[in-house]
Amino acid sequence: MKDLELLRQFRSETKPPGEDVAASAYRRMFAESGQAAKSGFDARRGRRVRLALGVAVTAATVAAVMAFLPGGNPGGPRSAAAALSLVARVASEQEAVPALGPGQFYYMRTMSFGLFGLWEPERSPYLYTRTDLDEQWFASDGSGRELLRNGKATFPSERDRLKWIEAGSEDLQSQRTHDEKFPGPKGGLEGMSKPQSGYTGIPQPNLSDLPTDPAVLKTVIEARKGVFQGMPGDGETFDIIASTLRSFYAPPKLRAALYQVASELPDVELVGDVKDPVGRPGVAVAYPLVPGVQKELIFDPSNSALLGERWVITNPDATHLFSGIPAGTNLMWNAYLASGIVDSMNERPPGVVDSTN
Amino acid sequence: MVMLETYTDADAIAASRGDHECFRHLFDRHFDAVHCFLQRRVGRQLADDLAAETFAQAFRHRDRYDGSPDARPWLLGIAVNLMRRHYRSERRQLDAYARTGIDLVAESGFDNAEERADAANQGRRLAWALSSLRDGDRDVLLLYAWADLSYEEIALALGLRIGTVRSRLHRGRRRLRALLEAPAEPARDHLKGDESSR
Repeated sequence: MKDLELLRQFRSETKPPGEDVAASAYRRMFAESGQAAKSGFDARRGRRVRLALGVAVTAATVAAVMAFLPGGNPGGPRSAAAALSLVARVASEQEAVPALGPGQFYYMRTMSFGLFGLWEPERSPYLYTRTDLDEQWFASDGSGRELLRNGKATFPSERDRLKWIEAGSEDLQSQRTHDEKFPGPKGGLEGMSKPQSGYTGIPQPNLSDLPTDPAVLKTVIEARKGVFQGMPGDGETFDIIASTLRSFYAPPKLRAALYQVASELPDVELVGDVKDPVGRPGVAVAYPLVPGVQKELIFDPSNSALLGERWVITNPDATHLFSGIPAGTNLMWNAYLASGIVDSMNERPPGVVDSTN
Repeated sequence: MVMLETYTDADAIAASRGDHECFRHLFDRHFDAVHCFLQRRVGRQLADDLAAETFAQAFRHRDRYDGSPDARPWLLGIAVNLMRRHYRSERRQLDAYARTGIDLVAESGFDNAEERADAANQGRRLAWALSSLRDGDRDVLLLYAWADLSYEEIALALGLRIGTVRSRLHRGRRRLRALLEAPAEPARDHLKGDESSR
């Protein structure tokens, strides 16, 4: 495999095209077919053309969202609180995801990335990364199936690879597939706590009972009761909100309340218009989770969908564990690729092609 | 069954038939990736033009799109097709790199002089190896290694059968490995890496 590794490094230092190049290409794309770009290129990274996604949002809310975005209204809101309040409005006006019928399952498809070897208990002599594809089907009682396909483990440098060999070539779970059916949570739905593994949804009945008044919801989350388990602190609250938003079938009023509670947390900052880990445009807000690391929540402001989450090293000097790692490095990310309701644990929603088979 | 919370490139292309600006989704998602792929092959200047032409052609021919959720293989296929007029230029640049150690296409990202020298030496060998591959084999190999396309996606991008993709990749990698492991040819002694000649 060394030939491929070398080849992948060859000319890997290319820089992305400048905005002027992209703007010129963007105009040319339409002009050569006799079409004009109706809106300026400068707005392209933030302004979204809405597609029919089975969501209903009023024109007034769309106007409010567009006003927030660059190119819509330069005087519009520019804070995390404003961005989250606006997306809360969008969420509150969406149609509820239908309840599961007999024999049906919620489906979630997630891509996740991890930089391994940094944390516990001391930094490993080598680092490696892996990007995995996870699919889950789960019934309303929390039981279901998980098909997890690990990507290839990759070393950031040859030095890491040699250190890995020196340390005994431990199993990095590279290119493994795990396919298992799981029962509902131990102790029934009441035993379901905040997902710890990264991207598991919370069973729908647990969500239906939650308060949708933001003030009341905030009290329940901060009490760390029911599905909201965890340590105290605003960073943990931000994390719990993000985890709960992963459950795409959460009632619209609850999703709205979750965004609203997030908007009221101190220290939440607007990152701005970003691309999510797989290149989809969205808006990100961030919270300083632990010293030197911020967690980003990336959402689509036009339909309130949670696109992804990212854990980013912001200050490598915060701990000796980050020594030599540049600021801006992703520790982890999840990208929520697709979701829907299906009729069996072997089925995927329309349009989701399982290209890995 | 209900599909929620996501839309695919195929959705964006279908929507662009009613409102052509919906095609911007494809541009937003894939322009940087297509540009970077071309840039690694033929350099920044030519990549600017070829990447722009790729999207112009894609937009013009969007009615022919096959409906796959991810349009990246289709776009890269157009890009490679446009590249074909520039194979000679690509080989010339690779040969020049192998000969002189100076890569006109990429800038070194290494700060450390030792790492820079190692990379340059290795880069010259890779340039030599890539230059010596058949053009079609190089297309397949680079779509696999640089664009991370699967066999199926490469077949789709280049209009080949999967068996052909497999055999081209196998042949390309075999040759690449042989050239990387071979001692430098007499005529290629410069590949032994004399950094002082830079």
